[in-house]
Amino acid sequence: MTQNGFRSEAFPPSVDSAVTARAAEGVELAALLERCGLSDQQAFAELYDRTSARVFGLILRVLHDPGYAEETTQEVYLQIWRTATSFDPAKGSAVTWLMTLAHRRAVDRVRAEQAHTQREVAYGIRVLGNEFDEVTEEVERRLEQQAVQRGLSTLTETQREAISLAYYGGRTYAEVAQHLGIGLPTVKSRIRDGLTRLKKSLGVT
Amino acid sequence: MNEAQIDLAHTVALGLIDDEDHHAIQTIIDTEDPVLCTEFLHEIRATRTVLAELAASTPTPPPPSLRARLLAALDAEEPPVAS
Repeated sequence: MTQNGFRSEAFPPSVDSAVTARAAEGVELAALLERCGLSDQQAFAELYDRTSARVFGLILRVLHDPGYAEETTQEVYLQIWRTATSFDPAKGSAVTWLMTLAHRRAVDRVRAEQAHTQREVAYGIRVLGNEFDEVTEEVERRLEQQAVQRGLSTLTETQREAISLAYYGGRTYAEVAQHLGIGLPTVKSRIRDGLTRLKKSLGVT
Repeated sequence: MNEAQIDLAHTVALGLIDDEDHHAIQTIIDTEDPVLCTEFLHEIRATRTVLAELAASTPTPPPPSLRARLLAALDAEEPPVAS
């Protein structure tokens, strides 16, 4: 590799590695989910061990309360256990399925609380783009995180903020617009352009 | 896909659809345009994938007690064994 290769930002080499690692993990987790569908508790325990930090990490980010996050994580895994047979690898990877379930349940809870208290919660607008120095033991995971980080670094601050408010805050586009005091079309274009950049840099087509 | 349809796909992937969005999605389905429907679905899935990557990029281990509690809960979920 040339010295220049290290500095190449146009097409970072780890994107390919991350895509490969993602595919390999996807096959293994899909097999575990299939066994969960057959009421295999050992498979469930392994699935939990391999994914719970990611699931809990997301839920905690959305809910900001360790107690609620733990309850919600428990609900999510029971839902996974009950509905494992409905996982369809043709529609997306196992991780995507798990994280989508976790996100949905966490946001449902946040929105229920919002409706209940009408309080203005200070959602961590800066939640994206920091704390990536957390090193996990798995090289694959690190590769993926690097790819995500690289992807996030391609976003503008306003794109990051809009995606964060919508995704972690569970806010509709209209609510994001109101929160930021900007027009709806601006919110739409920030999220659209931000997601497009993320996809490109993560090799998701 | 036009821009509004791309935005709609993103809304679905973000899990934020409301009644109006439901209506707009139904309109797309009703076109029965195979290219549009495939592109729309693909955009939803690709966006879900990228959001899941994002979500997975900040792991935090849950409290260790949760594991045991969950496994105990599974036993309660099992159908009763005939004796």
